[in-house]
Formats: sequence, structure tokens, C-alpha cells
Amino acid sequence: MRLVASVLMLLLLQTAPSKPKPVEYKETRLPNGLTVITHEDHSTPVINAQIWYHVGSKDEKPGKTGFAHLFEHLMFKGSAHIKPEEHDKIITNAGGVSNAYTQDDVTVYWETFPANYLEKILWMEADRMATLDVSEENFKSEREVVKEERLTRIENPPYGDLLELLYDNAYDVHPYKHITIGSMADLNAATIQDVREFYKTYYVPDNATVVLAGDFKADQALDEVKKYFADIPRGQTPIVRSTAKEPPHDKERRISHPKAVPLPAYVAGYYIPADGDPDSYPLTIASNILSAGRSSRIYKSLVYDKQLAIQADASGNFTEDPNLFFAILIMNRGASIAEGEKALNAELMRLTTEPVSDMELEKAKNKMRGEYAFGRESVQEKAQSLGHAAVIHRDTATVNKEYELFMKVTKEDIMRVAKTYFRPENRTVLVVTPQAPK
Amino acid sequence: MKKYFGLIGLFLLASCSAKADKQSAPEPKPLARVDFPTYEKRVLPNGLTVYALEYHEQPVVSLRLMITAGADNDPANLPGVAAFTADLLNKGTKTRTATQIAEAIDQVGGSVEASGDMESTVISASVLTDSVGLAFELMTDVLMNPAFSPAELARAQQQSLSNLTANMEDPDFIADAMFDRVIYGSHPYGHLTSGTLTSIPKIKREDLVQFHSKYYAPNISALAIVGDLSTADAFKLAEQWFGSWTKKDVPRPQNPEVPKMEGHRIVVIDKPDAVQTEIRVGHTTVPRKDPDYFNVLVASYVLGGTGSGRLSQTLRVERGLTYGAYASIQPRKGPGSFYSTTDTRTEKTAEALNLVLGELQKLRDSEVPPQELQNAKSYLIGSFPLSIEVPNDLASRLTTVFLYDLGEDYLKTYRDKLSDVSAGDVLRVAKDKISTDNAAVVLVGKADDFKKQLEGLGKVEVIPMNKVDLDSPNLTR
Repeated sequence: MRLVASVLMLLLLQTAPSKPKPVEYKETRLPNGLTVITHEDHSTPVINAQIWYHVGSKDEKPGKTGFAHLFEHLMFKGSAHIKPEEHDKIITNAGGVSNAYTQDDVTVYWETFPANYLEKILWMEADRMATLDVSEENFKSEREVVKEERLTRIENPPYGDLLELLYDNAYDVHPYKHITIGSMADLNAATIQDVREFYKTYYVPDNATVVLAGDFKADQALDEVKKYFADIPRGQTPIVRSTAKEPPHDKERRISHPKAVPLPAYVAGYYIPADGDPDSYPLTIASNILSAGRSSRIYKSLVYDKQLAIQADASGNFTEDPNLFFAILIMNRGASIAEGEKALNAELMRLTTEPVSDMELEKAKNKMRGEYAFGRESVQEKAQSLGHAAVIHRDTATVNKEYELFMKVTKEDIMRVAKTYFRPENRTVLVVTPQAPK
Repeated sequence: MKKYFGLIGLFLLASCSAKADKQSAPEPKPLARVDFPTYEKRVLPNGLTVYALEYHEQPVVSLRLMITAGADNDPANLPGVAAFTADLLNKGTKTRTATQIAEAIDQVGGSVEASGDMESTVISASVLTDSVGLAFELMTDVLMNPAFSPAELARAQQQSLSNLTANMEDPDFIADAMFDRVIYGSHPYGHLTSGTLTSIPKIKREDLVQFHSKYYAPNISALAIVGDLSTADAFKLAEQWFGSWTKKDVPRPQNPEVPKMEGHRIVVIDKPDAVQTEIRVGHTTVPRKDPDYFNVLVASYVLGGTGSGRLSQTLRVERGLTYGAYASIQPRKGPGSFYSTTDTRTEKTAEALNLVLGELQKLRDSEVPPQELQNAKSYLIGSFPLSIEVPNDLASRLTTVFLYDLGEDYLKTYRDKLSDVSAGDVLRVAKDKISTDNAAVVLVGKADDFKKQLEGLGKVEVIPMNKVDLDSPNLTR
């Protein structure tokens, strides 16, 4: 037994570092502008399908906040051959799951289902891309559901409104100023005419990407996509993207928000460049050093050693346009915001004054190696990575290429980006202090 | 409207002339029966059950050790002991400090976590294949040699109290906690596994040492090794690292009877600044191993297992009252719970509650129509391949079978058992095991605005949010 064990240990010690497997894919552009990406994975007879529409809350016009997301709900309200709510029913009855989400930049519809349902799913997605048909009554009723969603997510939970407040103060001109759910007033003001305009403009094949990952043969899947999508005409209304650029801020913005919360909270948002910017890679590695795992700097200092916070995170929200790098604290009972902010800023400043150690850099990269491997196991995760690369980076190859960019980050890169972005005048701070309920 | 869709109509016409028939849905070809992937099971001489399953999609290995003792073994009046015992495992051993453990596992990009649940304690580790030896080494060290240092316990208690303080003001959390407390009374199933504001400060190092020595035993545990590792290597590593874990006699919990609900018990938690009301309705139900479990499960899916269920159709789709309305079973070795959950704007509280009660009653009044029954069953059966896709899911399925002692053939036969459920079975369990009269109702919201509308449903207890006390028999301070 002992011998066997030691032989085995030797064997394991000699194992080369495990490298996450790349996501192999095929990409095709149909004549109507639809992008189709396929990834074969035969390990389990399931498929994940995602339709990415390149439209999100940043495309909303003033007075129409929340509309992209409201529209997402309406995509389940029927098309020429599918009755309202039938979409979900068909998938559920097959044992599949389906949903959709709206973000600042994109709206994504997805379903995971037993592999024999691929053609039917494609038929359904094509039907709602081509022939959505929402009644006034269903529109109004679904708007109530979305208003409830706003209550559930933003207004009722103790800390639900933090990001809405922060973004409203952090941005002046860029549409990231409003969060995706939008305001009640704007939701109430939305009309069925808005629905038709929006659909006609954005829900067109040349603004969409179909991603399929799972147990199929790529050629056959592509034929089926063509069969149902190829004759959907291109969009006729030009898509005008917002070109608003948030001007650099030269002074810290600070908002104090007294609220009936149980523990004080602190959120700082530092302006950072867009997803895919060369600086995004060292910033991500820096965020691993700061707050990935219990041995990370911020966790170790604020949560473990000083016991100032019960939650302490630092990570970038990388999106199509420049967004924010968040440092968030939920304070421990009896700990003050002032102490927390001081300890947090000390860690951010340390990155600007001394290089990280070799061990820490390796650890941060190993975290990334782990994230690539653990985060690309399921067909949904793989399709998600492909869709993100294709739509946000406009370069599907980044799905695999970015890995090397993370691995190449140096100590100097980290210090440089820390100096560039972790400056007090580059941030908006929200301080939430507990107050007796009204 | 007409004009616009006229235009769409033209597109449609164009597409009709194309070869593809888009008018009717392409019907899926039958899928060959999907089986749970091949795995091997062995029982080590110390009684530890080991499952090994190969998975090579990514160079990763997941280890999941389940000890079938959790908060159900907490000492009476001291909820939280099982959870703290688990929480302290990776916070220091005889030879490693908490920081050394964190450094070691973070350095290789992996994780080692432990948590105490209601009926089990789970230690899990995920690593890249190159670090599988380290995963076994750390997991067995935290399992067998925890230090339970007083300083670490104090730190964990402070963290936990802060977390709980925050949670106790979250309407969603408090609704769930109060619902369990009301239906289970003083039985541990009604306790917060995390412990309560009263119990947490009372937990001593000795409580953890005792819990660990009494319940952490290989003969009531299972280890699932799933990942990029040959079955042979998996068993060798299991024997090498877990072989020295000592077998012992483990006492089974002596818990009080679960109370019988008679009439409605309506508990309103008053949160004057709430804009929505959290709603929970339900009662205890059959144990996980009960022959009627599948019948109740199908009933819960018809009622509200998915967005296509009756609750969601009635409350969300037809009336726009909520973002979500669902029904579920929380399975337990003993009596589980059967509950409906939703939330709605304050002024619609009574309307939403009455609709939930109405849907429950309908389930008891008449048989589920054949197509609707078939849909619920197809979902439960059809979702099987989705539930066995990634290593963590596979490991979790294997340990769940072990936890509830469902038998070796369970993963092969449960789809047939679901197929066998008839409309008659569902109606019978709905009448026998599902009740609208003898049920707990928990509402968390602005009581003044809806309290009057509850008249006629039964006696209403109103507790101000800041007076809620889960340890007190009358739930209030």
C-alpha cells in the first residue's frame, strides 16, 4: 500500500500544470447578417442555445429607461406560430430550462434542452425573431410583472438600491447612468408603439448572434439554423449607437445615503476602461490579488485580521463601454465605515507603491487558470463565453486568446494600472449608514 | 398595430414560399435513453463509501465528502453547533493555521470548503488535476485534525452574528426562517442551521469538539470523486488519505415530534417600510423515502414547479401580481415541507394570498387533466440529462442517493417511478397530504395596509420585524 501510494505521488508530482481546454468553435455569417457559432460537446446529450441581440439598457433613449428589459419579457408573449407563454411550456415539457437576461450592452435569450429538441428550439427562436406579436393587454400585464421585479430586486431588499444610486451619481452623460431595470415612471410611460419600434430596429438578424454548444454535428446544426433563419430579412432601420463618452472626472464624488439597513456599507466605483482594453487584464489579475480567496489581501486584512467587514470585494465590471471597478464593504457589527475605508484604501494604495510578490502573481494567475477550467464545464458556460467574445469583443477568437493575455500580466503592469485607476479623484463613493426605519 | 404587423405578414409570405415549412413545429425525434454515467462504488474497511466517476471535459477534479449528520444533531436549544463545527474545519488544524490552509489552496487556484446543512455536513474541494494530491491532503487534514481554536471560533461567531443581523432584516430571509419555525416548532428542522442571535454567542469550543468526535465518522459518510482522474487512481488516493479515518458508533438524533398543524396559523411580520409582501403558505409533508414522495413531487410541479405551473400562470401571467410564484418540496429524512412562495406589492397582499390558497384547493378538488399531468412528469423526467452534466452535479447526485438511502438502483429507476404517477395518485395525495385549512401562512410586509383584508382566514399574529425572536415559543421578544 505504501509503495503504491508513493509511486502514485511521484506520478502526480510529475504532472505538468493542467491547462484549461480551449473552446473549439465554427463561425458563419449568413447573407442576412446573422452570426452563427457552434461548439460540439458530446459528453452529455444536451444542448445550450443562446440568441444574443446586441441591444441593452445603454441603447435606451432618455425617458425610456428599463425598456430593453421590459422588451425582453415581451419576447415570451407570442409570435405567429407560438402562443403567449407557450415558448417556456414547450421547453419545460421537454425537461429543458429557458430564460433571458438584459444587461447594459446585450439582451440574451437562452435555453438548455435534451439534444433531440434542437430543430424545434431553432424554429421557435426564429419565429420570435421574425414575427413577434404582442397584444396590448399582454403588454400591460407584463409591465406590471416588470414593476414587481423592480420592487423585488431594487426597492424591497435592504441593500437593493445601492448600485442604482452609485451609477446615477458616477455618470453624467453616458447611458450607464441608469441601471437596466429603469425607473417606475419610465416603465409606466412605455407604450406598445415603443415595442414595435424597438423590435423593428434591434431584433433583426444582422444585430443577432446564435450560439449553440452541445451534442450535435456542427454542419447539420448550421443547416437547421439556415433553414429557419436564413430568410428573415435584414433590419431596415439603421441602428444608431450612443457615442456618449463620460468625460474624465477630476474630483472624488461622495454620496451619503442614510437608510434603514442593518449594517453600514461602503461602495467605491473607480472609472476603468472597457472590456478587452489592454488594461483590463492587469486590472482583473489585480482584483484576484485583492479579493479572490481567503488569502487575498483585502479579505485577509479587512475580514480576517482586522475583522472590520463581513464582506469585502474588489472587482471590475467590464462592459462594452468604460465602466467601474468596485470596492465594496459590508461592515462587521460595531466597525465604522471610516476604519473600513482606511484599511481598504491602504490595500489599493499598496498596489501602487510596491510590486506584488512572485508567489502572489502566480497565485492570481492560477486562480484565473482555475476559473477558465471550472467556468467552462457546462454547455451553457461554453456558449456564454463564445457569445461574449463574439458580441462584446467583436472577435470570437478572444474566447481562447484572452487566456494568454492574463498569463502574460507582469508586476509592472499591475502597478501601472493601480496607479492609473485607483486614485481618489477617479472614484465615486457611496456610504450607506443605518437609520431607524421611517 | 395592423399596419405594422401587415408588414410582418409580408415577410411571412416570403418565408412561406421558401422551402422550409415554418408553419408547424418540427417534432423532435426520440432521444435514446440517457443513463447516469458509469461510476464505481467501493466501501473502505472503515465503512467509508467511495464513488469514483471519470470526467475529462476539463482538467479538474471535484471531491465531495458528505457526512450524514448536520443541524438535526444540534444539541437542544443550541442551534448552530453543526454549522460552526463545519465552518471551523478549514480555519486551522494541528499543523496548519487558517491562513496556511487558505494560502495553500488559493496558490493552486482551487478551493476547499465545508458547510453544515440540516441533515448533512459537506466538505468539498475543487482543483485542477495537477493539484489533486493537495486536495486530498488538505481535505483529510481539515476533516481529521481540526484545531477548533478559540480565537477562530470567536471570529466566526462575530461574522455569523453580523451576517444574521443583516439577514434578519431581509424580508425574503425572514419569511423562510419564520415559515420553517412555524411548521416544525421546536424540532431542529425548524431551526436556522446557522444558529440564532441567542444561540450563536453561547456556542463553546467544547461543543464543536464533541460534535466532531461524535458524528464525524467514515461509516456514515460518502466520498464522491468526479473528474479528470482514472477510477483506479481515485480509489488509490481515497484509500491512502481516508483509510486511517476511524470507524465509530454514531448516535442517531432523538428529536421531538413534528407538531401537527390544526387550522390556519397566520403570522404577519410587520415591516412598515416594506413596499412588497413576502408570502409563504404550506405545511410539513412526507419524508423523502416515503412511497408517496413522487406523487407529492408531481403535485408540487403542477402547482408551481416552473414558470409554466399554475401559481405562475395565475399570479404572474394572468394578473401581473408578482415577478415569481412557485411551489416546492424541501425533502428531509423525516417530514419534509411543502410550500408555496411569492411576493407582491403591498396593496395586493390579500388577493395574492387568496389566489395561492385557491390554487391549492383546486388541486384537492379535481384530477389534474391528462396533458397537464404529462407536462409536469415530462419536465421531471426530461430534465435528467441536464442534471448530470458537470462534475459537481454528478457528485451531488451520488451523495444525495447516499444521504436519503435511496438504494443502488435509484438513479436507474426513478424515471420509471415518475412515469407511474397517475392523476388519481396526485388527487389522493392532494386530499391526504396537502391542506389549505391546516396550513401555516407567513406574511412579511407593511401589516397596517393589509391586516384587515385577512379577516375570515383565521387568527392573525402580528410581530414587529425588530421583535422577531426565533428562539422564543411565541416567536417574539
